[in-house]
Amino acid sequence: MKRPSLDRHAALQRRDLLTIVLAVAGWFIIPTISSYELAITLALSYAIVGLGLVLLFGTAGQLSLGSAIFFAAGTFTASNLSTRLGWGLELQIVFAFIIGFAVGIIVGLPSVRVGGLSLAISTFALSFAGQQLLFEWGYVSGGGAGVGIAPLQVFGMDFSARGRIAQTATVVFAILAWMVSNLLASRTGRVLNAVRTSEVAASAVAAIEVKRTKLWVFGMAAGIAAIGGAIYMHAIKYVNPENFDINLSIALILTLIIGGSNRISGAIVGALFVRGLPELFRGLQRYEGVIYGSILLLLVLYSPTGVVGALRSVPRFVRAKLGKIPAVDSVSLENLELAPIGTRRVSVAAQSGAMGVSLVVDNVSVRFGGLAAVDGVSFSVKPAEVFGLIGPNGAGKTTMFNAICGVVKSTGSVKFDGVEMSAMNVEARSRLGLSRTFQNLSLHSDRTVVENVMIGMNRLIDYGTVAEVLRLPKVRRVEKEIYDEAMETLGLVGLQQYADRLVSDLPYGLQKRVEIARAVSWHPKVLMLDEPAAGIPSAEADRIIGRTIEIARQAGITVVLIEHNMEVVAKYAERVAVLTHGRLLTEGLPGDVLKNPAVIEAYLGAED
Amino acid sequence: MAEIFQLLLVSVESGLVYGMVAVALTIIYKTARVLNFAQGTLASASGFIAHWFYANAGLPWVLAALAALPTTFVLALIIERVAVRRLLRRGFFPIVVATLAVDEFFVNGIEIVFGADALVFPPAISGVAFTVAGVQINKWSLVIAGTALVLLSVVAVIIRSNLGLAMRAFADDQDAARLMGISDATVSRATWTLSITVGGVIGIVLAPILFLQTGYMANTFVLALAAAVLGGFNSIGGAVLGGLLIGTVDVFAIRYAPAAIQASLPLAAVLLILLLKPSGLFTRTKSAERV
Repeated sequence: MKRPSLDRHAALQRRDLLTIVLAVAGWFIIPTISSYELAITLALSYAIVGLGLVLLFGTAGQLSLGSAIFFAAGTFTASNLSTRLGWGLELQIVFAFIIGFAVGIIVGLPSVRVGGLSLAISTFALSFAGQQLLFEWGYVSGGGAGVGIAPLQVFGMDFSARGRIAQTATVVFAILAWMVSNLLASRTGRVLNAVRTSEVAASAVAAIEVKRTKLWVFGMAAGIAAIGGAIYMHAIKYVNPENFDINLSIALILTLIIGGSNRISGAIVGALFVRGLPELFRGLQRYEGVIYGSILLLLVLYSPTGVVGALRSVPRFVRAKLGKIPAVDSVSLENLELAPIGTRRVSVAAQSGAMGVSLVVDNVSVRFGGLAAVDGVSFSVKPAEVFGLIGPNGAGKTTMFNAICGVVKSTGSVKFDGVEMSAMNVEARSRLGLSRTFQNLSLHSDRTVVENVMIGMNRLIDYGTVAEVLRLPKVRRVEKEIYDEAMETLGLVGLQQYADRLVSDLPYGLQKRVEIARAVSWHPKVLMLDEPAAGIPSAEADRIIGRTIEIARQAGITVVLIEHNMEVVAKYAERVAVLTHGRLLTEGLPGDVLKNPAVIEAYLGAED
Repeated sequence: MAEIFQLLLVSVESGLVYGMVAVALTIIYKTARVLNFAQGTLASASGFIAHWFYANAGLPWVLAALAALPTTFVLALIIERVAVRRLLRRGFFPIVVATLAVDEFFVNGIEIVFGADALVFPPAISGVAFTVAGVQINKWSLVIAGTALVLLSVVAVIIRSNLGLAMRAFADDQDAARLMGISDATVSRATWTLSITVGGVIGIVLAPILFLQTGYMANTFVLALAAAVLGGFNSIGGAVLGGLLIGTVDVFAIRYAPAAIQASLPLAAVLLILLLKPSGLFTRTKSAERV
């Protein structure tokens, strides 16, 4: 079996090293075209903002229309530090980032919580209010008269000669692009993507703190935008608050969308496209809005990943036509070796506490408006047991799972290994050792199979953000370990050979297996399986569930299984509970419960 | 006292305007779950078209305004077909971005076609209509308020028709509506043309009192957005009430608040509402949604 190696690993391709190399090459090219210095520097300032938006919008999926505020924060920070204190660019950038980040957190604290379209609307409103504030704060912004900036100095050296500003801007862009690409290729990239593609899986399986993550990325994007603002200031040397209106906010995000919002190359391609082309075709400047509006519309319709996405799809299309991309076949589950889940990080983490633990549900109710979806249900699951939860459609089984892992509000008590969980949020419950799968697939669809498993193992990563930004050796080592152990877990469900395929390329049945691999990848203490084989032919379903339970038993994990197929439940569950209409009908050994006339009636209707 | 009374009257007039544009925004939000960021710009396009019929084609004011309506309608049909229809099932970001693209296109397009200079578009009737309690009321203010009220009743009638029923079914549950044989193309076409035409009417009647210049509807759009947020993007009534509230806050802020925070006050209201009660002021909170 061919197994992808780490150096071909898709995550590393996200680093777009070519972009960074080309940006560095800009240093040598710029002196030959220094008459375009202003346009180049402006484009680079936009591209820098774009780098932050790749994280915020392209990866985490948060649409902000407030970039102009943070851009302005950087502009006026640079201006004031240079004219009042005589500080050089290096300090201007550091402080622009800090102030931008702080403003971002303040703005983000209330608005990130609402998310989605509300975030777009509230940042849109803030962009208006922020500009007015700038006009009024004359000490910093010069009010309607505006402010200037001292000539560019870096580490005490004069960089104000012709061409030097653009050269400096390429270096700043290249460094930031390298840093952002490092984030995209490791934990942060996976976490931000997980938050966009499935919040519920991110929090309930990977214990990711969704709100904190969103706030953090909002702050990061704001800080990076502020660095762009500082560079912008050096390009045009004189600004007043008028420049920072809502149209700038919109232009900044649209520039990235035109380039391609999910890669760092999109930031520079978009910026060169939007800021550079008008320089080359000055005659068309009059029609700028019409041209960009049309291009943007075409891209939204035909290439949601922008110009870069369109360019990248060409080689992929050709390879597919040439048959270089093999089709995904179904994979047999027979003759797969059974091995422990993970051999190093995972097993160390697993041994730090009890293996399978008990789960006690006491008088739990969930209400949707007037309807009680779950009504005073109690049952208890013993450590390392396989417990079946069955019942007809609409009985409240999935709602019960959601109540246990905190996805819906419930009353009553849920104790995990004796610890009361009912006051905890989803992430905290998962952190205790609770994992699950979903009835309807909840995968991170635009990532690879192995990355989906790696996101499950997120809690086992122990490097910090600074190390990640700089891609220190420790990061490489931990990433390799996590990758290897994720591959081992994929081996348990027979998916190693598809590890580097996009999870959305896989057929439904194999995606179900990816969910199982993700759920067990970090060695949970309690695993909740919500119809793990729904929609799969029954012989295959039996094998998948059998395999999962084999893995769990071998690792000593407690299993709660929702399943429709009675035979499967009878075969694997040690005890079962039956729910109907949100109430517990009965509980006991599978053989007894399935013979119970009340259970048969609930499933098949009353016999006349 | 007379001043307060006058400010209140102005509040009602601008409140109705913001309310009707908020209604236009809400109609689209309800069915497509997106915000049409081009709403203000498209409304200004209608104003420019009316002006063209008036100044270049030599039509009398009322006929020029009436001629601009079918033009707006056709424009709306084209925009819906080109920019919206194919994105219907792709979630809200693509459509929001598409409306931003349409906005870019028209801001520049209007400038190319009609020029960047402010145009003169005198009202059809001017002067004082009557005086109440020492407050003069302009004829054109009555026209604006009257148009808004007529528009409101037209929208209310449409919403109660079969088409409106389909639109509401779609707003409640898109998948269920599709299963019931309601075509999303029909609903989408109806909502976008209705919304853009409603905005266009407001754009036309406001043209004489604002300078007819690119972006003359921008401020109205922002305040209407505030109104729609207050109304929770949920019902026609909520949008109108939100408009009246925003109109009042805006008018009184301009008169009494320090210059520094005048323009921010209505927006501060929006932020507060979004944060404290995202479902709007006039909406009962719905039960939790299933995961």
